[in-house]
Amino acid sequence: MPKIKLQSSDGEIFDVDVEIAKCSVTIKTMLEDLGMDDEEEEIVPLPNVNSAILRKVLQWATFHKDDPPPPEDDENKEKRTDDISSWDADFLKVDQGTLFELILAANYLDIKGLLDVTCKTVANMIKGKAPEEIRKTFNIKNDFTASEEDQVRKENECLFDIF
Amino acid sequence: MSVGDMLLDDSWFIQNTLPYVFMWLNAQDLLSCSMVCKSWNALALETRFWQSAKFENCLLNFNDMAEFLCKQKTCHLNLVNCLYMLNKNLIEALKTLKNLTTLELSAATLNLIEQLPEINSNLHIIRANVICGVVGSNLNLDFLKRLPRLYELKLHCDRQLTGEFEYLNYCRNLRHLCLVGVKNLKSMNISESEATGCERLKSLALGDCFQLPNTFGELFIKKFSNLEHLRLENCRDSHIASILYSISDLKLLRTLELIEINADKNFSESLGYCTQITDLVVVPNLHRYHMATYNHRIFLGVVSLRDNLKHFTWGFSPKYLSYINKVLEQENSIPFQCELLDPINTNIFVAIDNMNLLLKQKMKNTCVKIECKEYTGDLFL
Repeated sequence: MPKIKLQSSDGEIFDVDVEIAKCSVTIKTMLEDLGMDDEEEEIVPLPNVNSAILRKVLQWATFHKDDPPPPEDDENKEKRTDDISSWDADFLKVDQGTLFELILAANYLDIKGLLDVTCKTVANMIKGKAPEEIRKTFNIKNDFTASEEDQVRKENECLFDIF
Repeated sequence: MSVGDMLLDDSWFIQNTLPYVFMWLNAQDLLSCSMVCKSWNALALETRFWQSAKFENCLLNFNDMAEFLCKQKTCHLNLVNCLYMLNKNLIEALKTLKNLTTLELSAATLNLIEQLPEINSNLHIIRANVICGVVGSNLNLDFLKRLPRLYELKLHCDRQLTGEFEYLNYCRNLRHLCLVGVKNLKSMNISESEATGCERLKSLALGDCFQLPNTFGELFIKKFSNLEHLRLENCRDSHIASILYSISDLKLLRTLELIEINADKNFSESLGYCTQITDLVVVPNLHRYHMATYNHRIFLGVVSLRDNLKHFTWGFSPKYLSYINKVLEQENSIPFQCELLDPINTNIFVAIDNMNLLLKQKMKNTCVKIECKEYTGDLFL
């Protein structure tokens, strides 16, 4: 199987099957646009992804290489976040920094399947939580002043009928 | 910098991560996010996350909510998992949502459904569970006349759905129709002229459609000349063979789902005529005496479609398999018997694995699946 070389932001070179690398639409387009020949083994620089994250991305792409293409977004389709496969769930048992870096990488490399599953994982960390619990989960400071917070809360509360 | 700090005020980081996360959140969670910090507040209230709004397990103050959603230009509102008892307020509130094209409701009253055209005559998609309440009250499909843009209609009635099918004639844009609770089609007057406005329909699913009249195929199904997908669910006591004969005329039909059927006499032969089908799901009904014969007829019918059939799923409900397991004391087997040998003896079994092999042998180009799950109801909400 033809290979290409991917270079991470910190200079590490990864030898990758072309078919696996092409699950990234960004790389696929790059190869097509530049007319890179599969056999020349040119180096594709990826200045936005470091080696630790690229290794994870390639691990994910290798496992999912035979997946059917993810369905197009459909406004009318139910958006489920409880359908993460057990392999993906295990794969994403990482610290928050890595998880968000994977989102950035999936976004930059345009890998829809990986972007969806990482974002669903973060969405599940938010779901059903009160604002204070969300802040605690991600260690976010509350930068509202007391009166601003009061205002925002009132605007929200009036949307619901309280028992 | 920590993730928390970046999520607070690194706008590049926020813009390249959070919007993709917010996409997966329902309305309440988005509102919670809007209260986390200033940057999240600005982002979570952007209209792009509110095109489609889903509320779950909450009581809404409809007046304020409608004003908010109107500002957010919401066009798809999902209240399926929502409590709303004050229907009057709901109707008035929904009327103010000018951009609304898709509405999903549960426990909707008859009154609410019949007023949908007044809420918004521009509705494209309606999916609703309908509570009829009093025995004998019926949903009048008359309201469909006033929804000219309707593209998809799914109604799930707890009691009886009546009304004349001729109203569907007015829905010239209708492509997808799903009605569950159509319990008295037998008494419905389906005349030849009535299906003519629906010839553009692409998918039709009918649930609880037992006791379909014998003329159902000939006078009704046959008119949907553009139908690509047909699902008949819970069709016991209906004459399936006569329906299948009519289906064979639908040139564009590719997917056929027959859920909880009795494979009566002529089933194999009539199914054999539907050679255009590429995807087939058959789930036999649990029947004390004829299960073995039914399965044999299903087998013969399916095998005769092997030239074009790409996918075949033979489904068994958990109830079916547990009957076989507990009452007939057979594990991982299905009753299977050539009717010519012994028409009522159900005590002849074929292991599911062997049946799988046999089907694969007979149909080299078909992807065969024998599976056990709950089939009824999975077409809806």
